[in-house]
Amino acid sequence: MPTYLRQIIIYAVVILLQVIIGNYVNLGPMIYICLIPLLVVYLPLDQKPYLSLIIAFGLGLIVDMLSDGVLGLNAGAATLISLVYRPIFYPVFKKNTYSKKYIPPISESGIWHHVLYLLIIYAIYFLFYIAFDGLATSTLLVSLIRYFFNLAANLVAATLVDLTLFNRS
Amino acid sequence: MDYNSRSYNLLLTIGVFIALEVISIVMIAQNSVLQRYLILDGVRSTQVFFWKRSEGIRDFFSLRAYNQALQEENAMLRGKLAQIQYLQEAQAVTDSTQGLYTWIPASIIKNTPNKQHNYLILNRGAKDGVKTEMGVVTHNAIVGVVGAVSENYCYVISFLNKSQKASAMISGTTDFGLLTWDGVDGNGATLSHVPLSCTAAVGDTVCTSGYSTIYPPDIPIGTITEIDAVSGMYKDMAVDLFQDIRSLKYVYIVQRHHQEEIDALSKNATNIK
Repeated sequence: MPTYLRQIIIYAVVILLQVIIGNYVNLGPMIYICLIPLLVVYLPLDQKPYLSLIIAFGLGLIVDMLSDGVLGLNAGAATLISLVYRPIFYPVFKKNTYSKKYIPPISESGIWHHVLYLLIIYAIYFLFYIAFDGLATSTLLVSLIRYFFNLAANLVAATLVDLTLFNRS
Repeated sequence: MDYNSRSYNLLLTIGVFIALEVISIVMIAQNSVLQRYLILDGVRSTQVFFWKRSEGIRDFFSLRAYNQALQEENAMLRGKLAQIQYLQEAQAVTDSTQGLYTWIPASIIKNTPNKQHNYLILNRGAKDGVKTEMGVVTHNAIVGVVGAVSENYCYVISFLNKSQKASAMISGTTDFGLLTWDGVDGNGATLSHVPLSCTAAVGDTVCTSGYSTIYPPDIPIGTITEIDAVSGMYKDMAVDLFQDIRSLKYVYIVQRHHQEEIDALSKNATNIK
């Protein structure tokens, strides 16, 4: 199966998974599992940056529309990380022997590089998301607790999806 | 333009990013009442910030007009003050030599600052009620005397002119003398013919005496910097003027009411002698 076709199928599955989690899995008001950042970091690294922005915005918007949230929240956060995922990639995956087209598989780079990369990306994502979602409605302490809970929960979820879908041999 | 250049791509990326973020924030604002309120509040605050700055710039460029308006208002208030003073004095005593003054605001359109016989041209003339022999002052300076008048302008013989003299007195006393420009710099003057009995000291303020029909009384002019006894009869005092006339832009032309009557009376009195 060609790589791009495989990629499209995985993206469709992850979006479906996201919609199911968003609408049917209740983890309480504090935690929101979001797989969009994972989709963004798997966008080709060699494509035009503005295309990455538009794709990320579109992915975020689809999730916003299919889930019962505030329209624009995921779209804005996804656009932000699509701007920074490339500059973050190179310092995290230091070896220049990797393919410059996609994030290297876990078998090549090791899981901790993936975890670190996802941690940074999710940290930025939820900075935007929680800032706009709880805009002046939550105290700083509540927002911080929510931020770290989400960071931990999403890191676990994203690593699992990364292992099972994107790094399936 | 090279559409593959690095700078073009960078600009395009930044542009697309800003556009998409704006769209996202607008969507957030439109789909949540609370977010809308808070985002619009932020937008308004930013607008207010820029409005204040632009207002400041506009104000700066409107300063000339404001100055003009303030000057006119000031003149009107000075006129009213003089009227009140006159009425108070008229009630208290029958002597009303202080009289009434009309203050005409004017702008200096020409000033010759570096000559020994300086003059100024003001933007007020006969149509504004200006006549020769009227005094020209500011709140802390005597500027000169109107020497000639045309329809729209007047020619003022500057106080920075060796031929000009003004009656001045030391504040808080009744001692007075003749104030003349020292001919050296814009801030220097000499108060001469002050009686030897005068106890004024260095640092005392000199103001207009009001003993002529040209300048109103009690305009502070400067401070005494040096005192010399001259020929055992008078004292001469060096005065540091408060205002350098060369740096002025706006002045008042002072019209003393009944001036012609007072002048005529003086002339008749001279004939009697």
